[in-house]
Amino acid sequence: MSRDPTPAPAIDAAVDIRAHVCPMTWVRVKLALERLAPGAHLEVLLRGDEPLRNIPRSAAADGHAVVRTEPAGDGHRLVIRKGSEPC
Amino acid sequence: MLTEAQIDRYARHILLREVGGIGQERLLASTVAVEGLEAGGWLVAWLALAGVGRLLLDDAAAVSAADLAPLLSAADRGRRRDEALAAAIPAFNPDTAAAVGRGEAALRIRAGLPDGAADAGVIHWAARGDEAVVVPPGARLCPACAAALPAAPAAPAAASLAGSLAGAEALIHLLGRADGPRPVQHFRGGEPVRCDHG
Repeated sequence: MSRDPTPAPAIDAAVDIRAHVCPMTWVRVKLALERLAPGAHLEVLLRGDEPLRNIPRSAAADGHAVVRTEPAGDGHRLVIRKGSEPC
Repeated sequence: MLTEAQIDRYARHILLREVGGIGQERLLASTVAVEGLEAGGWLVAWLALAGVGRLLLDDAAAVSAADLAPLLSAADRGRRRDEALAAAIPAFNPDTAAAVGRGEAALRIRAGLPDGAADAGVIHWAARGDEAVVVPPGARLCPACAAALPAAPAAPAAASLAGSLAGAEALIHLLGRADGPRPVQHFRGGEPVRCDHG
């Protein structure tokens, strides 16, 4: 984390999807993103390879950007910046 | 805001770009008036399944065998159509409140074809014989196609097709996704009918 040259973005909201499986993982993230303003940052805590692959893919398809991915506990922490297109 | 049960119930809607959680909340906040319920069980079922929050049902005629699918049972025969369907809806989707009568509604779904073009805010639908027709607001069915519709009551497949198409048309309007005029949908034997009357 300390080697990442970009400053950590301020987190506007967080969603923990570690207890969910596909497709409810993306359902939860999408609902959380809908409540944010464009450009706001959402922290996502996830566990397992499937959401690690699919959440960034679904986010990109809807016009959002994953700006950070790092190990956290027994899973990963993503930071997604909400895009400007309506989702 | 959606409840946990609603997030599970409407997950497939939430995944759709055209609906999402915001669109689902919009559907749950909507009132649709359904005027005329002959063979209308499928239409009402689709609206309730989608989570339209309130239905106003209006049809005092008695339930016949053709009205039963998919919400009613043989025990409902002879009851008023609107009362029988309104009573069946809570067990089908507890999010949909159903009332009998007329009143304010964001959208009306009227059985039968319009004289000329359908009014704004009104979807017409008809199921006759093996044909299914949905006329969105502002659209009109070609008079020759209208005159050629069978007189026979709807076959079950035509009733379910017309009901599902009218229900889907309603969702498009409730979600604000009707960008400009929308076309008439007309099927015969489950296949789209191409009007060649000029």
